[in-house]
Amino acid sequence: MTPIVGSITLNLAFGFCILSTFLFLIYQKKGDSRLYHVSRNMVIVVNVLSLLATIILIRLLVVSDLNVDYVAHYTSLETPFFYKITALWAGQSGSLLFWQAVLSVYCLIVVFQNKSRHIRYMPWVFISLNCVQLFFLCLTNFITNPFKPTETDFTLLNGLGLNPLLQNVTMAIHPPTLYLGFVGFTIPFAFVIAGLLNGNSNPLLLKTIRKWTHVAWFFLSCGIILGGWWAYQELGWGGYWAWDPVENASFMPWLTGTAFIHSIMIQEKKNMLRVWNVVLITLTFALTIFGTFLTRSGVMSSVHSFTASSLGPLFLGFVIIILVVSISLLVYRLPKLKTSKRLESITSRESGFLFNNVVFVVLCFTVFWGTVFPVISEAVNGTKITVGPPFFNQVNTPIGIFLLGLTGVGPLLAWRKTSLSNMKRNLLIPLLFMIISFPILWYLEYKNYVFITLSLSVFVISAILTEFIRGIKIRKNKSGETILLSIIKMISQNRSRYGGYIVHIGIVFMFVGFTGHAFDKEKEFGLSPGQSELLGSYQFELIEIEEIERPNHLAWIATLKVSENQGKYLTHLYPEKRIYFHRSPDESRRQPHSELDIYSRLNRDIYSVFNAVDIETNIAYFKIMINPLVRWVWIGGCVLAIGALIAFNPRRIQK
Amino acid sequence: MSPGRKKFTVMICGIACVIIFWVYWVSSGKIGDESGLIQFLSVEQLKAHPIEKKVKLGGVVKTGSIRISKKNKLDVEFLLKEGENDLPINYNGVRPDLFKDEAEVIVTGIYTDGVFQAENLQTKCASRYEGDLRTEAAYELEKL
Amino acid sequence: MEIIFVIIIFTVSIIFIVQPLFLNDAQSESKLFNSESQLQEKSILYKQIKELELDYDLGNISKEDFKQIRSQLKKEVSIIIETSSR
Repeated sequence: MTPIVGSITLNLAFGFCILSTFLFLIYQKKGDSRLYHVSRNMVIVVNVLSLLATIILIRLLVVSDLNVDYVAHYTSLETPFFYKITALWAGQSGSLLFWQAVLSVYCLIVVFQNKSRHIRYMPWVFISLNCVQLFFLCLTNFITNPFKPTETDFTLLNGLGLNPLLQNVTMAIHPPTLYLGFVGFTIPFAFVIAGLLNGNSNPLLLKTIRKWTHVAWFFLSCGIILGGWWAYQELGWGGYWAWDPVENASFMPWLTGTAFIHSIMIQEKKNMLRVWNVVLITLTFALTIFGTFLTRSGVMSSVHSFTASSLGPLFLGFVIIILVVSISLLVYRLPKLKTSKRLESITSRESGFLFNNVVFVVLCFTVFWGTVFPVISEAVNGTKITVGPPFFNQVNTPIGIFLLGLTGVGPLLAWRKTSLSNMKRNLLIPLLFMIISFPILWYLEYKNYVFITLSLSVFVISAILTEFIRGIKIRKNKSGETILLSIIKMISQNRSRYGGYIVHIGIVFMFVGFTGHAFDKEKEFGLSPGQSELLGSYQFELIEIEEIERPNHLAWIATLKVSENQGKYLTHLYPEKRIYFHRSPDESRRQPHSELDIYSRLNRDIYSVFNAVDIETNIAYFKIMINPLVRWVWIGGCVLAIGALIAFNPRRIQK
Repeated sequence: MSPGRKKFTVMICGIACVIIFWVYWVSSGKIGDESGLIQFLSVEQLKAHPIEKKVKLGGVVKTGSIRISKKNKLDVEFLLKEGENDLPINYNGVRPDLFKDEAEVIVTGIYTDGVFQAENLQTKCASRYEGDLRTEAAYELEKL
Repeated sequence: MEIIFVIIIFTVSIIFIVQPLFLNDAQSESKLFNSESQLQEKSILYKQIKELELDYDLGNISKEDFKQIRSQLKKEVSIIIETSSR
């Protein structure tokens, strides 16, 4: 199939998308159900066509059709098959088409899930989804068409190829996961808007909204964690989070999305916070688009360096439209959304949720402020200022610790009002554990934030565990099942509750990992074979340097022997220095790359980077880092993902 | 407004005020050993009004200006070019993989006595991958 | 070749889209409204009652509240059962 077909497919999708939006509007006026079916089929066609266009682009990438500009830019004939497919999201127009494709998959699921559900809401849901799709179809059709032919007056023999940094399995799955999360928030947003337009919402609708938010949240969390993991494994600066604008762009919707997951539960259970929820989901959705604006517009100088493009104003305009439309709808429906229910006590579960929400939004605000401050500052008084990690760390650490504390206290509070006896019973054991942890942590010479974080971690973990144990006990006494069976049944029958607790445990583990950052050590030095160097209690001896030529690069592999406490053998590390395109006659095309090696254990990582090699003197230069507790971040990430999977329950409700 | 609701409104406003104050306090650099806010200057500005404070500079590495120390592969001197102006930079530490002639770099450091002592050196991602097909095609043709 | 592809894509889409127009109104109407929503709403309510009971057992809710919310949820269930049986 040729690029022209892909292009026309996109044009058709665009046309049908507009048409179906109008048909839905007519249906809302006339009420002829045949009209509804026609326009719904049209939605299916739009989505199938978008997917078809994506498949065509993938095919063009795979067969390396260099007549297409996008293919020539992001692949070359030598690019491995797998990375030819991942080139779909390597560049701008491809990634926008990919965004559209992901949205299409979600839309198709929505269509088939709700054939006979939410009948009153579906037209509005489709209209909202169509509007979002229209924006992306507009971009891929008219602004950056991925099927644009190559503009050259000569025949092209090979493409430019994919950046070696992106030729990595994690980097291949990180962007799609992030996209699944980003795009996923469109669906709950559309349902919330449909509820607003309809003037009311029933429990079924709320459940659908919550489930879809779980899906988006799961993918967004995984995407963010995978991004950190990739940075840690590949980039060689020894960290996983740099508060870069691009990272913040994905973190902000995560914060508001997390707040929304919590507050939608209150609406389901208590029918409270209805206005607030609309605000939160709108904010989350707007932030996903704003995030794309940040990364694509070039207003932010970021090391992730996407080239500046004309898309910035369009995205910003779309964000403004979203905000204006949703807020005016909200104001219009305000009288219907007011509830008579009020918070009755500060020590209630409800207010715990409310605090959680406030803290999340505040965190989001500080991140937002830090991210856009350089732009504001430049616009207002002309001085360019960059906001670095120290700012974010200093501002967010106390807020994060407060949030950690809430994670522990929140689930222990009772609905409506916590009685004193209740408080005593629920808080006693966790507090006891925390107090026990004080002298231990003191003895280990932990101070300040680390001390607070670790003791709070003990508190939260024991609070969650006692909650689990109490549930199991009750279940066992009632049904007389074995312990294992009652654990499984308890979790599977209250998936969102216990899945949520498991997510909390994951978050605590991650906080434990973050504290390790306070004890990071690093050193840079040069060694010739046989020499050794000390860092802390570790000794690094260079055994040899080996030179190897591989198909697409030249590599020097260093063998470092690591021993601990004067001579106790620990491990060997094999960091590499590579040069890609080493056969290229054009020296500027050669690209050096450091492949690092990590020795990772629960208590610390030993992180080695091979910086440079001096061939004449046979000296190799290394950067070594000791990063305590980093592994807990990844363990926490896995626990979080498992918890989110448990909470997100795709099972159909039985009749 | 019921008294309960009032209490909550007051509390939330209180939290908001505390946070705003907190953000202001941190950004004014009154706590911690280093402030997170660093000014980004152009080479021209820095040369005209030298200040002994940590600043950031952006530009490209002037072709042929990179001098790597003989005794120690880590120390490097180069000229940072921004428009018409250039400035000697001293850096001792790990160089990013993409550091080479004409690479776009951002340096953080202090300017003293005509030399900029950088403590941090970052390169932007390879521009080649957003590159011009024409130069690339010329190279491929040459090869064959 | 390309033109054939495009024509095929276009005609298939159009046929798929207009096909509901040939159903009569009553048929498509019945496709729209069945009782699945009500059944689901009922099961959601049952689930809420179960969760409420768990919360009560865990001591997260006071006795009066528990009784009141429970009776209210049960009332809602009975309304649904009543309307669906009609």
